[in-house]
Amino acid sequence: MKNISSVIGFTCFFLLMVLSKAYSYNFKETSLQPFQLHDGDRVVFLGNSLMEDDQRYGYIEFALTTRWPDSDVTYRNLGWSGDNVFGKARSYYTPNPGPYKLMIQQLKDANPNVVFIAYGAVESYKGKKGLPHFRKGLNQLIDKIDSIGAKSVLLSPLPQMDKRTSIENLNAHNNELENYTSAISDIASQRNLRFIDLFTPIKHLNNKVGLTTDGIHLNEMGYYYLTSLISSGLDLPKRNWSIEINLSNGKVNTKGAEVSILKMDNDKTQFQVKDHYLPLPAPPLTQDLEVRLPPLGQNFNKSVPPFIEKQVGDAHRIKITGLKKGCYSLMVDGAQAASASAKEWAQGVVIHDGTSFRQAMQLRYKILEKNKQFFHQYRPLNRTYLIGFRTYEQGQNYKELKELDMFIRRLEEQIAELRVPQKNDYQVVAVK
Amino acid sequence: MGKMNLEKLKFAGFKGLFHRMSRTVWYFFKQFGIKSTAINLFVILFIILFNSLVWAQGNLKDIPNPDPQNELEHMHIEDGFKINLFASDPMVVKPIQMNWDAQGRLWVVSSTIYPHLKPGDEPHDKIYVLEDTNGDGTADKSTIFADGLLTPTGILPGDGGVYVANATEILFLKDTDGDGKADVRRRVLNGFGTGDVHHLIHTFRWGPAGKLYFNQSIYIYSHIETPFGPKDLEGGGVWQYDPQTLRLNIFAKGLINPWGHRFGRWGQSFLTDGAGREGINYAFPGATFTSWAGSEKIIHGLNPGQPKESGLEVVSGRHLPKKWQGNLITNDFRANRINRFVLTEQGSGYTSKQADDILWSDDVAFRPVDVSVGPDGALYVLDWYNPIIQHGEVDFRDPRRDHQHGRIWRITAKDEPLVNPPKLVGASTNELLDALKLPEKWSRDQAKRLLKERGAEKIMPKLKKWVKNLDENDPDYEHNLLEALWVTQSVHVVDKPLLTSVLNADNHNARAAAVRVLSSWYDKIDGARELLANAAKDKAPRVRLEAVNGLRKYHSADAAKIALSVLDQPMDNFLDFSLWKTVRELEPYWLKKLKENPNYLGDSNKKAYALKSVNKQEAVSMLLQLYVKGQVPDKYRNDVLSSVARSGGVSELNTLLDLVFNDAKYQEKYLNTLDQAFQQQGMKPDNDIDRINNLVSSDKNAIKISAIRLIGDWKLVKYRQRIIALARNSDEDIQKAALSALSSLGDDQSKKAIMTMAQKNNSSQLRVLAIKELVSINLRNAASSTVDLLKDDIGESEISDLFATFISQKNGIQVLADDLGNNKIPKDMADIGLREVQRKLPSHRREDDDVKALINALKDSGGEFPPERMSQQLSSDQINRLELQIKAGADPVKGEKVFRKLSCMNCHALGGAGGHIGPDLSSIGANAPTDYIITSVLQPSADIKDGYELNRVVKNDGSVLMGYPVSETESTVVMENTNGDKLTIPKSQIDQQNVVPGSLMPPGLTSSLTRDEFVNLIGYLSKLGEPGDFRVSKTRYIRNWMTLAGDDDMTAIINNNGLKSIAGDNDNLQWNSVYSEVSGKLPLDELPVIHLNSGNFSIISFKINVLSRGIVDLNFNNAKGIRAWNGQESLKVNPNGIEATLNKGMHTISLAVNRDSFDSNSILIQLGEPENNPAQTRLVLDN
Repeated sequence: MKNISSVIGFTCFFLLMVLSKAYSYNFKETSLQPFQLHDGDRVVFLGNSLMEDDQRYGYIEFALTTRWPDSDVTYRNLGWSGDNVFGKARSYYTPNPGPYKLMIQQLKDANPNVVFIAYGAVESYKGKKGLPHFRKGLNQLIDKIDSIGAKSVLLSPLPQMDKRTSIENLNAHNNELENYTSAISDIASQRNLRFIDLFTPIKHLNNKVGLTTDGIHLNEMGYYYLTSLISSGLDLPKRNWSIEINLSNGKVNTKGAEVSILKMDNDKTQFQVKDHYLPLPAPPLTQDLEVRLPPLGQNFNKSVPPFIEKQVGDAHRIKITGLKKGCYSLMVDGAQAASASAKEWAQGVVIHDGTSFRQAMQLRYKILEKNKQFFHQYRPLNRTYLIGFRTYEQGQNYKELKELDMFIRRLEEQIAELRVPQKNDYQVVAVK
Repeated sequence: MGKMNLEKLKFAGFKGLFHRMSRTVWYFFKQFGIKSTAINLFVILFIILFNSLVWAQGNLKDIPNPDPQNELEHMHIEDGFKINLFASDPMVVKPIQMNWDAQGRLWVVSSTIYPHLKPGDEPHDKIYVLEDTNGDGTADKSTIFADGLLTPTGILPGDGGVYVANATEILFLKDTDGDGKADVRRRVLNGFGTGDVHHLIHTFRWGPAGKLYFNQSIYIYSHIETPFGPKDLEGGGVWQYDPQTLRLNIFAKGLINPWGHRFGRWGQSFLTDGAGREGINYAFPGATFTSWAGSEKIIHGLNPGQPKESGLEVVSGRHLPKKWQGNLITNDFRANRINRFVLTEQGSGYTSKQADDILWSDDVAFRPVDVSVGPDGALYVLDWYNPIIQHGEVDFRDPRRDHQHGRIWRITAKDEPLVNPPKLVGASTNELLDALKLPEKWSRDQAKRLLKERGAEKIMPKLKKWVKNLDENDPDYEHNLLEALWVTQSVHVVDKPLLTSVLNADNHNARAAAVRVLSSWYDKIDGARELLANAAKDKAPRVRLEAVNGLRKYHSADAAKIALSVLDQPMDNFLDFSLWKTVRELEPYWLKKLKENPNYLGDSNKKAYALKSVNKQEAVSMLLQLYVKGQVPDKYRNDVLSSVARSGGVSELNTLLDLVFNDAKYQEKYLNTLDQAFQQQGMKPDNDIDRINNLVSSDKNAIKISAIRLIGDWKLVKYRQRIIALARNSDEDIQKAALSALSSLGDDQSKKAIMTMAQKNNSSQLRVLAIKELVSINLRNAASSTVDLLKDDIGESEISDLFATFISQKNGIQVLADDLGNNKIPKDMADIGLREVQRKLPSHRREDDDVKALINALKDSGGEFPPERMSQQLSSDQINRLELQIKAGADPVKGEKVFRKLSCMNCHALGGAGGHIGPDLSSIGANAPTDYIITSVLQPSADIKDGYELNRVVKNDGSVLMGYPVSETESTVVMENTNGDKLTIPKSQIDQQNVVPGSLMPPGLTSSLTRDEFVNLIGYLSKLGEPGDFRVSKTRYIRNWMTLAGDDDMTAIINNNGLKSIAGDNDNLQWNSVYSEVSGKLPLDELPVIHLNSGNFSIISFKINVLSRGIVDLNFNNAKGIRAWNGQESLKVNPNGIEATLNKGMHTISLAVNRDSFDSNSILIQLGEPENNPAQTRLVLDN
C-alpha cells in the first residue's frame, strides 16, 4: 500500500516537473540546460542591497540549499549596498586595490561555480544615458566570471514600490528600471545565460504593500515572496505537498512527499512522511517593521497575506475524508500541529507546523549565523588596519579573520545535516 | 629645602608617579595634622624608596586605579563649580554617545567589543537607559534597552523609539510592550562604511526642524540606497536625514574625525574634530572643510592650532552662569580636560576664543567624549574611561585597553538653583507650545520633538492660535516665532505667513534661520526666488550667506545672478566659499546665458567673480578678455592667472604672451603663468613664440630665468646654443634654469650637452647640476658621472644633494648601487653616502633590496654609518627601563632644547605653529603613554596617526615624490613634502599614486643623541599638554615667525639700503621659519645675528590677520631696542609693545631687535584679546 502511494506521488511529481520544464522551454525558446547544483558547488550572490539584504533573512539561500539536500553546495553572499557592476560601493580610503579590483578579488576568493548577479537598481538613476556604460560593465563582469570558470545567472532589479515620492517620479523611475531590466535580459539571451525577471511579476502585483521597508528594500515578507520568483525563474517545482486519505475506501493520494501509511482508523490514522524538500516557513506578518525571528520552538505566524500565500504556494495540505463527525488533531512526532473538524479535514487542512517546519527554521538560523561569520571575515570592521594600508599596525590580528574559517566550516557542517528532510510520524487522532 | 627639591622633582617628570604614590601617604599624615613640609620630606623619601621597588618591576605599567573616587580626586574644576558622579560601571559601561529623551532619561550607547569583535563571538553591545528617579543628581536606575549590537556609536531617542548607529546600518528600536526593552527592530538605512571602527557613523543629533543629523569620519566610505537614488559619501562629513520623507542628504563635507555637532540657539551648526587642528568649525549647508579627499576651496576652523576636540554642547539655561550663555563646551579628551570657547559674530560667521578650562585631570584614563546640558540645567560629561585611546596604533588586543568601566559626571554651579524641568510627556499641545518659550534649549528641543510626533493635524490649529497670541513686546518674540516655524517645518506644513513674519524679523539671527527654512521650501512657495533675492541684499552678512546657500538649489542662471549680488556688499571667507560653490554648481546654466548676453550677470566685478570660479576654457577665455580690458578688479589678478594656467587654451595663452610684452608691470607673473600652463596642461601659445628669446637678455634675473624655462617648455631648439652657453654662466639659478631647459628641449644634442657638462673638466658645481638633470634622461650615465665625481674632491653639501637626487628617482638607488658596486670611492664620500641613507630614507625602505645593495656598495668603499649614540633598536625591557628613567630623571627644559636642535618643528607644530607634515604634538604627552612616544620616535613607521598617510607619486619622468596630499583639483594634486613645501603636481604628469606604509619621519633621527639627551627629549614630549609649563596656553602668543639669515649677503643688503629695507616685500632677502617654544617665547640665542655698521641685529617678522579695522594691541615682554614696521610703514614701539590702528587684511609686522640693547634672552609677544580691542584679529599659523 505505502509503496504504491509513494510511487504514485513520485510519478505525479516527476510528470509535473517534466511538464513544467517542457512548458517553460516552449515559452523561452532558449537552449538553457536545466538549473542544477552539484556536489561541491560554491554559489555566490553578487549585487547591490537586493543581494546583501538576504543575509538578514536567508530565504534565497535557504530555498536553494534545501533543493539539493544530498549535494554539498555552499554559499557566499557578496552583495553590497549601493553597489554597481563596477563594484563602486566597495571603496575604501586606500586607492589600492580600488573597488573594482576588490570586487574581483572577493569573487575569486569565493571560488564560485555559479554566480547570481543582481545589479541595475543603483545604475537606473543614471537613466537612459547610463545604459551603454551599464551594459559594458555587466558584460565585462560576466567575462570575468566566465574566466574563473563560473556560470552566471542574471537577476533583474525590482520595481520601486513607494507612494512617498510623487506618482510621476515613481513611474518615471520604474520606466528606467524597466529599461535596465530589458538590457539585462538582452545580455542574458545574447550570452545564453539564465535570466530571472523579478521586475515584471512584482510590477503586476496588485498589492505591493508590506513587501518593502521604503519602497526599494524588501523586508522579510518581500524575500519570502522573492524566493518563489527565483524558484520559478530557475524552473524549480513548487515544494508543496498534499496527502489525501480516503478512510472509506482506503485510497491514498500523495504529491510531493514520500508517504507510508501505518494505520487507518477513525480514531487514529498514522502515517510517515518524508518531505522531498523542507518547507519554506512564512515570516511573521509585519508591515514596515522587521521583528527579530521568533525564538526556536515558538509557533510561527500563520497569517501570510493571501495574495502572497497564493504566489508562494509552498503549503503542506492534508485531506482526510470519511472521518466521523467530531474534532481531530494532527500530531507530528507527538506534538500537536493542527486541529480541525471532520468537515474541515474532508476539505483539506493546510499545515504550518510540525517537525519539518521546525527543522527548516533551525536551518535558516544556521544559514544566518554562517552568513554573519562570513561577513565579519570578508568585509571586516577595521579593514584599514587588518588588511588595508595600515596593516603594519594591526596585521598581527589578521589571524583572527582566518580563525573565522573554523566557525564557518562548523556551521556548514550543521547546515549539511539540517538540510536533509527526515521521516516524521503523523497521526490524526480524535479529540475526546 | 624640601619645597625646592619637591618642585624640582615634580619638574623632572615625577608628577604622575608622585601623585599616585603620595596621595595615600598625604591623606594618612593629614589626619594627624602633620605640617606639609614634613609631609613633603617624607614623600620624597617614600618616592626614593619606592623608586627602587619600581625598578625591580621591569614591566610595570601605569594603569590608573579605576575607582571613581580616585578619578574624582584627580579632577580640578573651575572655581564656583562642583562635580559629582552621576553614574558609573556597572550601571553604564564603556559609554560612547548619549542623548536625552523627553522624560529626562539619559540614553547611552556602549561598546565593550570596541575596538574589534573577537572571532566567533556574538555581538553583545548594549544600550543603557539611565534615570535619576529621585532627583538627587545621581542615576539610581539603569535599564538595558537593547543588547546584541555591534560597536554602536550613535544614539538618539525619538519617534517613539530610538535611532542607533550599528556598524553598516542605522536601526530604529522600539519597545512596544512597555517592559523597557526593545522588541521591534527596523533597519532605517544601510551601507555605511566600516573601514575604521573609531570613524563609524556617530554624533546623532536632532536638527532644529526635526531632521536627524549624524557624522562620519575620514576612513568611512558610505554608499546608501534611498528611494531618491544612491547617496555616496567617501570621507568625513555630516549627513542629514528625514525619517518621515526618507530623504537623505549630505549637509557638510570634510574634517578628519568630527565627533561633535550642535545647533546654536538660532539653528547655526558648530562642529568639533577629534583629529583636526582647528578647534570649533562653523558649518552651513554645503560647507566643506579640511580633508584629504580634497576640494579646491575649503573653510577653516575658528581656532587654528587648538586642541583636537570630541563632543560639543552649546550652553543654555538658567542654571549655568549668564556669561556662559551661547558658549561652546567641548572635550580635549587627549589631554583629559574640558574646554570652553566664546564665540563672537564676525561677518557671515564667527570668531572663537578659548576661555579657561572648566575641568582638567591628571588621570590619563579620564576621557570625556560627549557633553550635554541635562534637563536640570547641569552639565553632563560622558567619560569613556580608558588609559588607551590610540585606535590603530596600539594593538587591538592590548591588555591595557579598558573594556569594563565608564562614567557619567555631572557638573553644577555652586549655590545656583537647578532648573525644574517641565513635564512634557503627556502635556497638552498648548503646554508643549509654551515650552518653546523656555530659556533651556533642552526643554524647547524635547517639546518640539513631541509636537512633531503628534503630527500636523493635531497641532497645527493650536499652533496658529499660539503664534497669533504671542506677545510682540516679549524680547524673545522673534525667537518664539522661529521655534514655531521650525515646528511647522518638522511636520511638513508650509506656513508662508509665519515664514514671512520671521523673514521680516528685526533680529538678523531670526532672519538667517528663516532663510534656511525658505531654502528648504524653495519649490513649495510662490515667489521663493524673490524672497531669496531680497535676502541676498540683507544688511546682515549671515542672512546673505544663507540666501546664497539656498540659491544653489535652483538649477537656473537667474539664481547665480541673484547670488552674485552679494558682491555689492562686503565679503568674507564664509561668503566667498558659499558664493564660489553656488556659482560653480550653477555654471551649466549661467555660462550659456552669459555667452548670449555679456552683461547678463551684472557689472564686471560679478562677471569676473563668476568666470574665475569655474574650470572651463570658454569661461577662462571670457575672463581674460575682461582682464585685458582692465575690467577685472586687481584683487582677482592672481585668481585670473591661475584660472588661465589651469584651464586656458592656446588662444588664451597667446593673449597672455602678448601681455608679457605689453604690460611690463606684471611681466613676471604672466611668464610664470605660461610656465604653469605648460606644467599643468602641457599647453603652449602658438603666436610668434620666438619673441620669448628677447627676454633672455633681460637684466632682471627672474625674467631671464622664466624666459629660459619657457624656451625649454616650448621646445625652441633653435636657441639651444644660447641655453648651453647660459648653463656655463656664473649664476647658479641661471645655470639650473638652463640645464632644466635643455632637459625639457629633450633632443639628442641637448641631452648630449648635459652629459658633457656632467663629465670631468667642468666645474664641480656644473657637474652636480648636470647630473641632477641627467637622472631623468639617462640614469646609468648619471650614475657613472656621479661615481666619477665622487672620486674627485667635492663639497659635502653637494654630495648630500646628489645622493638625495638618486634616492628620489625611480630605480635611482639600484642603478647607483650597481655602479658603486663596480667602482670604489673614497671612504669619506662613502661615509656621507651612508649618512644620507640614514637621514633621507623612510624606515620601511631600509629592508628593500635596492637600499641594501646601496648600503653594501658604500660599505665596500669603506663607508660606515655615523656612530649611533642612542641605540635605535631597543627590546621591550629596554624600553621599560628607559621609560622609568624618563619618569624619574628627565629634564623637560633641556628636552625642549634638544627638540629644537633637531628641528622637529619643521614637521610638527605646537599650538598650530610649525610644520604640518607630522601630527601636532601639543598634547602628545597627555595623550599617549610614554612607551608609545619612545617607539614613535625610534620607529616612526610603527604607528601612524590618521590623516598622515604617506603618498608616493611616481611622475612620468620617473621622479618619485613622497609626501602628504594636501588638496586636489580636477587637474592637479597638491602634496606637502618634508621641507614643508607644497608642490602642485599636474595629474597628467602622474604615472602612479599610492598610499604607502610608513612615515616621512626619518628613522635614526635621534641616533646622534646621547642617552641623557634622548631621555630629556622624551621627558619633554611626555610633558607636552599636561597641566603646567608645557601646555600650549590659550593666550594668543605669536608662535610662527620668520627670521632673516645672518649671512654676508643680508648684511651687505641692509648696510647698503638701511635698516628699513627689511620691511615690506623685498625679494632679495632670505627669510627662514622659526617657531616659539611651548611657552610662546622665541629664544634669542637661536636667532641669526646680522652685524651691521649701526650695531648687531636680529631681524624677525610675523603675520596677523585683521578681520575688522581697529586698534591692534601687541604686548611685548621687553621692547628695549626694538624697531618695528607694518609692511613698509614704521610703527611706534612703546615700552610694553605696539598699539596701532590696522586696516582689515593680512599684515606683516617686521621687527629689528638690537642685540646690544635688548636685555632679555627671549622675546614673547601677545596679540591682544578681541574683547579688549576694537579690531578683531586672528593669529596666522601657516606661512
